[in-house]
Amino acid sequence: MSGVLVVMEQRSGTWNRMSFDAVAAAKELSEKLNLPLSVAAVAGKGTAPDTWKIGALPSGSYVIEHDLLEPYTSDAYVIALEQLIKKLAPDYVLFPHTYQVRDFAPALATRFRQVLISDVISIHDGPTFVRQLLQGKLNADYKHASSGPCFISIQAGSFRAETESGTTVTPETFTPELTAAQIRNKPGERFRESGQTVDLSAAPVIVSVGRGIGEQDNLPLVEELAQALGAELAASRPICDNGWLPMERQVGSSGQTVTPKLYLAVGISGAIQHLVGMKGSKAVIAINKDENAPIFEVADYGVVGDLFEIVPS
Amino acid sequence: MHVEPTGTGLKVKRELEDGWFQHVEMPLPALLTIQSGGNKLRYATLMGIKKAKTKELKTVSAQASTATPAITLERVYLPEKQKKTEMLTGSPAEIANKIVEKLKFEVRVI
Repeated sequence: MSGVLVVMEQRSGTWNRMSFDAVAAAKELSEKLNLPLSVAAVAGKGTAPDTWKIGALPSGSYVIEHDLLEPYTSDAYVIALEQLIKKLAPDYVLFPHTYQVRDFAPALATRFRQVLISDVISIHDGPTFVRQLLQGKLNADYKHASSGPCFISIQAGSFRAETESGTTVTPETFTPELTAAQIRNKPGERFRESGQTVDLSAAPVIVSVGRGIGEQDNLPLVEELAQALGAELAASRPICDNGWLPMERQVGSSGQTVTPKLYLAVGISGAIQHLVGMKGSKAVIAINKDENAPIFEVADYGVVGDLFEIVPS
Repeated sequence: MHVEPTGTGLKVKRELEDGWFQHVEMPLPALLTIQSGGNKLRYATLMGIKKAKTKELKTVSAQASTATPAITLERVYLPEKQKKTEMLTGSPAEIANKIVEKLKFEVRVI
């Protein structure tokens, strides 16, 4: 058998929404190449999601179930997925580019003497896979050049998922051979550090601040602006790394994903990890000193200038 | 974000998505990738920089790979702009006025 296989991500019966972007990408690829599409999810015994409304009608769907697959470990995932991939022998294996996929997918690809083409933003004819280099400053086209399966992970928001329409899929159960001795890592419970959490995803207006602010003492300036607009204050990773603002106000791949009506980015250059967390915003205004900053790629209105002169005005 | 040795291997603190963390214990050898913010940067002292220059630099030749590469890089280029960005120009006061106008009439948040 050949085809395109998507490995979707779920945890405790809830889909990771990025999975549907990967399904959309796989659907596009399978139509382009006229190959059958199949989908799979990895879950502990009886913990897979009940609803498989995934925005595509695949010719095969599988739930890889085993007691040892919950909680997540890279060893168990690699071993289990290797078995399904060997059985199905797909030409392409697609994943959503989540933290978990970053953890196990390179090892899985290596088992097949392949590499993972990670964080792909679009697929052109060929097929050619486009990924970003140097924090999104450059794009690069990659082609698969060997006979084994080609492993690809898809950037969040790069493909439009259509989960509203479409029928529900009933998956077939695949039980991998897995023993406890094969799993080297001992994962602990997941935990959060901050007691109080700020839900930025519900805020209609967000003023977000980045490294351009220079030092912590300049924060009140932006806080005042946020207050004047009735906005929530958010930040990019460097600000939270420095401890200037608590981590629960971080927007980006390691923080929150937001889609406000207005996102005002002050002194944010727009590293790709930040952009994936905010590019769904209805309107984006960016103020930055560097006219080549990637933030302007996603901004509706851009201001090249000194934030210390513009924000007070 | 944090690495500490245990009797038999390592205990690390991993950052997950959406503000979640997790401790993971593992035997050695292990391959770790380090997230930013976990450690304070240590800047080299002037003495250290001078000393580094006198250290022997070993060169290890990469053995010619027998495997054919799994992927090829075809092209590197500047990204095409996906969104139309309207640049606002003028003096700081003029720009601020323009932004307020946009917020009132186009984005409609004030």
